[in-house]
Amino acid sequence: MRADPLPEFPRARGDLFYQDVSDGGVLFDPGKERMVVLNAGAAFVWTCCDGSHSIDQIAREFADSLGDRAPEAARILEDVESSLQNFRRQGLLEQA
Amino acid sequence: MTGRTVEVDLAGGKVRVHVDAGAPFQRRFGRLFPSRTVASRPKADLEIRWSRGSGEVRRNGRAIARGRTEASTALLGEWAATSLALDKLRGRALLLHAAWVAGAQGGILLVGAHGSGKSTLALALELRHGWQVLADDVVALDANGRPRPVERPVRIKPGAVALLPELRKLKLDLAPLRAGWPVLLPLRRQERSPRKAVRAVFMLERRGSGPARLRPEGEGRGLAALARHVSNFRERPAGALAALARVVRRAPVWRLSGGTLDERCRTLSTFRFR
Repeated sequence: MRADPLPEFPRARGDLFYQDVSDGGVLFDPGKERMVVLNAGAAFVWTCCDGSHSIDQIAREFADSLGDRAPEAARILEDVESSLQNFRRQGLLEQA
Repeated sequence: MTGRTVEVDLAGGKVRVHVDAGAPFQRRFGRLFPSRTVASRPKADLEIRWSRGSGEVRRNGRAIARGRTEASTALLGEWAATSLALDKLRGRALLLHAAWVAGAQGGILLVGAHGSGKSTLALALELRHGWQVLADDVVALDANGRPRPVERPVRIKPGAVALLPELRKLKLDLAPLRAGWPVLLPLRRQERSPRKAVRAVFMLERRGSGPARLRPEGEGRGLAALARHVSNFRERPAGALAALARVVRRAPVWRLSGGTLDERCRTLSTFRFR
């Protein structure tokens, strides 16, 4: 089954609570009373989901944050899209 | 109103309790709380009456619990006083369901679901390895994640004596256990000491088969695990997340599974802090 296209400018739901930790981040969804633990990469992507960053911009900023450790651009974009798909599947993004 | 009014202080949650009973019951009840003073104001939040085989706990002039023995009346009074103190604390502290034990190298928190063995393990560390139980049930965390013990007595539950026979050597009336009631063991009054500082958190899984095993949790997973045991987390999630992040930054979270009580004790008493 083909996944729906992601929003061009993903935006995090405004009613979620987020906390940075050294190895990523933790989200609390008060509606579902659920915690979501994010690894470092997903946490970076999450903090860019403000509705003003496009997916390509998020991927570029993620690559910049990794510096010399960054894999090739196509792989970075794939990882970012995978995180965003995951956020959307869990209902963490605003509907487009 | 006859009797005496005492103010018990549980991590800053202060409750005035009027005890209307003879001197033995007053001593019995007073001993349950290490931090207590004679109340300067007579008006009480709670009233406990004990007289000739009949006990009652009253709030706002209404009976909220009744006991038939001294022990059960004291137990119900302790429960009512602690519940009220925790209600008063809710707005200004995070209430983490945990035991806090301090050893020679530092303090640890034992966190786990009801029945995971926190109290028994905490008492075993005290009785077998010379640690000190600072809190058995609830630890209050401030906005910076700094803990403060809620010094309610340890509740020894039926079944604990079989695991920890040393409890028989304490001067406690264990008879209520046979009727399914817990027995209260007051905490020892503590001196201020740097050893109390919490240096690790252990999430207790129910004892199962296999040897005792420790697994580290990352900060994120550790924070999420701790949050499930904060009774007022949902009342202010942003502040709670920030406070818990500070806790897990200072004190790594480990998951403790398997092992007998003795194996768990040995694992924790020989644990090397980071």
